[in-house]
Amino acid sequence: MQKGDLKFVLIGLIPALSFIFPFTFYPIAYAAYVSTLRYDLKYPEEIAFAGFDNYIEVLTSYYMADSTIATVTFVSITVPLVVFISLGLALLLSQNFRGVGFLQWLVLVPWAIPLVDSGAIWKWIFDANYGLFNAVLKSLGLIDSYVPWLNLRWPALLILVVAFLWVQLPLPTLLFLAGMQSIPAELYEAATIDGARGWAKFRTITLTWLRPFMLIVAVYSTLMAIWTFDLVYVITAGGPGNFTAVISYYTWSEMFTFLNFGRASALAFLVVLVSVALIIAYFKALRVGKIRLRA
Amino acid sequence: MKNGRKPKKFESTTIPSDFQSKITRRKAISKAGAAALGAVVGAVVAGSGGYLAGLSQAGPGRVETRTVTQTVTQTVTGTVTQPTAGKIEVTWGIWSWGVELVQDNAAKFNAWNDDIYIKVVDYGLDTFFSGISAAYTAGNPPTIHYSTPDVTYIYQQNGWAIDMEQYFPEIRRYLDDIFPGFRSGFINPDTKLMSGLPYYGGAQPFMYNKRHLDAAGIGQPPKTWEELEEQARKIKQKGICDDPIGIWYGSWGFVEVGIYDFMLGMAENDPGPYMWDENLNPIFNDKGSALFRSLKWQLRMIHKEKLASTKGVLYDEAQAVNAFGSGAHTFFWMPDYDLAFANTPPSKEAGNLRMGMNPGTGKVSAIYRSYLVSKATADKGPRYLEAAWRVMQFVGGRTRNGKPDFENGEYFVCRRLNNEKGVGPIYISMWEDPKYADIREAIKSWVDPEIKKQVLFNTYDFFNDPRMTTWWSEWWGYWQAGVARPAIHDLILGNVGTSDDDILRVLNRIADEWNKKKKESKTGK
Amino acid sequence: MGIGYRIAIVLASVVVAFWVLFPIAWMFSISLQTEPEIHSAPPTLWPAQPNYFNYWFIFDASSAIEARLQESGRLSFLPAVARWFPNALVNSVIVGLVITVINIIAATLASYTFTRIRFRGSGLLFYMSVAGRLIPPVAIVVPYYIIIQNFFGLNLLDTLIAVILVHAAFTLPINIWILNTYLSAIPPDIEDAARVDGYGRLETLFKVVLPVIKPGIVAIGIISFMVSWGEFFFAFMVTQTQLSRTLPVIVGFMAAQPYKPVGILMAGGLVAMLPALVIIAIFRRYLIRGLVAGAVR
Repeated sequence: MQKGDLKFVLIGLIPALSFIFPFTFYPIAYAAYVSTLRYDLKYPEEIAFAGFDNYIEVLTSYYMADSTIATVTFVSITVPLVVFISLGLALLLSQNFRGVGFLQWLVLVPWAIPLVDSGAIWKWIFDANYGLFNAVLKSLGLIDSYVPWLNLRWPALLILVVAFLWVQLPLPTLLFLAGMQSIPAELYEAATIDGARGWAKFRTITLTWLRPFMLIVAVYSTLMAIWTFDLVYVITAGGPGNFTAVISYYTWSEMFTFLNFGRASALAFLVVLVSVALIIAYFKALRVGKIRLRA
Repeated sequence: MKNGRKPKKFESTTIPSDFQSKITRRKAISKAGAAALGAVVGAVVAGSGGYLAGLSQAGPGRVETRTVTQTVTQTVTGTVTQPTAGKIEVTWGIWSWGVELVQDNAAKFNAWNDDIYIKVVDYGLDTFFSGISAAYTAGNPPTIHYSTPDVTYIYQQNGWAIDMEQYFPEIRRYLDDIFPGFRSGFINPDTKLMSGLPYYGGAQPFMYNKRHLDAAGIGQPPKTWEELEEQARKIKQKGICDDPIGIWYGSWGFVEVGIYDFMLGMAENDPGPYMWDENLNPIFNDKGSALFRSLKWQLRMIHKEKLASTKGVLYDEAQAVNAFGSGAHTFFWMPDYDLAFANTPPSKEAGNLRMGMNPGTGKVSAIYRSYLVSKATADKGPRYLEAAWRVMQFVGGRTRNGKPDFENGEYFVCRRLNNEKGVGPIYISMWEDPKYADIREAIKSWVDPEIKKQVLFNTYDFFNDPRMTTWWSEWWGYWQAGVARPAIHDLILGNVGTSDDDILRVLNRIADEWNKKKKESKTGK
Repeated sequence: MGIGYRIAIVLASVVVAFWVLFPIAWMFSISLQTEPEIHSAPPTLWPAQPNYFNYWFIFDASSAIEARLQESGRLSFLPAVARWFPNALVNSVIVGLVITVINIIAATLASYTFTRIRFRGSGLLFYMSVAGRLIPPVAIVVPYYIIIQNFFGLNLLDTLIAVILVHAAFTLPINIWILNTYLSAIPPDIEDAARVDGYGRLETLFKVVLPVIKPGIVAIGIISFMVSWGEFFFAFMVTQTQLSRTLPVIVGFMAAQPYKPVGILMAGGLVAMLPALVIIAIFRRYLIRGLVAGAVR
């Protein structure tokens, strides 16, 4: 640190951290504390310290197995799709052709729609009585009568995936696009001079440069997938039986339906643990050794 | 810009070390570790601080909480604050339904009374109970608020809400005017005192689409379940409706139209109890139980006869109302006030829908909502209590020009709810007294008042009967929404088989879970 | 530019456009239909007579309800909460713009500090900021409520300021992370040269670094606005009266009615996205002037 830097550090960090920190420690501490309490809002006089009871109760509960499977399935389908599709989209949008500007704007449009509406329209498209999807299938002769898709397990899950993608693709695409546009042209020129062709250039330059962005996208979309609650609530309400009752749906249920703050907080912390583990895994997977430009 | 740059560094053909991702293995772990460590350290360090903080903030430790929180949160909106200019402020906690009507009623009251001022606080629809509970825990509950039967006992058990009869014995006079099947819903089962006045009451009756019936040449709605099946088959064969029997499983748990109305309707010669015995042991997991019979019938209708479908499993209230109101089903069961909506333009089938008596026994499930006054109000002193009582009489009882008048006053708010929202009152005099002829007139556009009255006399009062719904068992919420509901849904969807044994298996499983939770529970209730 | 390339681009563009526009077009169609038309099978693809009632409703709910009452008698089940729609629109715009400004300034400063200046604890500070975002919002909603209720002595419940504070707290971390990524990839040589020439840190930041990381700043500008624009949960928890509520909350309330008016909901959603689209359009002009035009041939 150089001379006079201390003053700058303060100028530089105080604005941001003064917004962030009040909302960091206390909530986490509070949630951690509550997770060790037997805290059922319906019976406030019975609040007592309960150590890890909540965690054990949650892990052995009726829904844990179903919920974990649902979450794992959902996350493992959506995250790769998000990463790859948004990468592809960003690639398309970084090309130079007439109308690319409009397309760049267009891709961000789903982001502007309130989540409640996105959920509602996708649910409506697959509605059992009046849905467009059913109407199209019937007119094509593929089905005899309207099928309640959201009552079937895998269709319900896949509909959730589609809605999720529709809503979530804009941000990763934007990130990749911004990343791509900061790659200095000289790198490509140098590569061309060296005789590298399209795919090789993409692989060695673009992908490598974008690795830290991939990390952000992977982490972000994983967190979004694990936390997805609004869409599940609006479209499937946990799905037929418990099939789409992802873990965030249960956390919400524990909190607002069963009114058990203790267990809800315990669940939340378990989710945090898993998230951190995943983040570490991503870091490792995306680490880079020495790379060479030569194909 | 380009001119000011230093000579380009990337002219070599190997990528400079800067270009490598700065994240090497060691750094990766240390970085992530720091994140985790940061979170954990923050949690632990502040955790002890949080413990101390917890003592002085809303949360555990109620007694100390109240005084400290109240001092700290004097100006929190939604609390009962000091009266402004001599007026006593009464906060009316509502959920988001008919808000503009509520606001208007409050404004009228405020205009009529210059010593009391009603302030409406909206706690949302889905978040109502959690919002009010949080307010109670933090020590600043509303003066008077709505309540649903499943949680009323919780308020009473926690000492949050009071029995109005304890302070105003004259409230008992209203009891006789309430339909018999609903009365116990307003009485605290422990103290046997009346806790509050009704907000509204109704049933979840049987309904049918007259146009469909007429088109099929059927004159009268079905009186037995066999007739129902017959009529449904005819309607489907004639192509009038593809899915005549609409079974809606509700959207908030196990106590749902699709389960209770059918069970009640098929419980011939069986006055109950249907679910649990006096000791709260399950009795429904038996091939002879009404629940078993109704589930079996439903499965047959859905999977074998194809006269019903599984669509109703995932309807929420809006979809259910829209489905019936647009003619997707011929026969339906849902709350009576929903019929008002379905039978009024611009609903597609407006004018074609009718309410009827449930096939079989004719009994259906009752629904009602009540008003409760918080103990915090009583603690504030007699002036506040008096104010709360006056407001309660306005919103749920008889007043004249905003002032209580049992003998000659009218049910002001109840009347408006009925006329403007189709939300029916459960005061018998409002159905029979000529003074309230407009009540029957107002609803004529969407329901036959005679039928509705008959239905109301035929509801099964199970809300306060612990053997029908044990609202107050601490594991109720978890069991009904987390265990029973998904299990029943899976059964109806056909995911676990549809034979008698399959049904029994599902019932046994949820009964086992019930027993398990009951054993583990600390209160044993 | 080969023909194959051209075809691929056109095809891809068409697919993307369809993917984005199809649900929106359907929403638009529904918003112009009457309830009976919406609830018909097969669904009406495009109404024969477009009906503007839904749009009238969200902008002037009171008179629309009046009109409906006149014609249908005494019962009205339309969500009167829509009366607050225009107000909520304004609220969301205000909050969004403030958040964008806060982010651009604070995140850039913080990011620059983290990446360019080595000081003890910089890593820890950064990761602690990010850690706050690892917890599912559901679990920390109550503490947030408590903090806002007692923010250093002020009760900020039910104010737009509360919404701004909360939104800032959780858009900043990820934006700082993004800018960090950007800045790390840019060698500090130019800045060092500037420093040698006598530029102070702040000046260096403004004159030298900013132009280079413009796409990054544009990106976080858009992200900040959009995240704030669509945020429902906390905006709901820290507000109590409709006056200070933002758009997602009002739209959410309209949807949470027992009688979900599909047409009105769609109309509301479409109108709700317009300001955001304008903002994106404004920012995007800066995005395409990237440093590289065309990455892979």
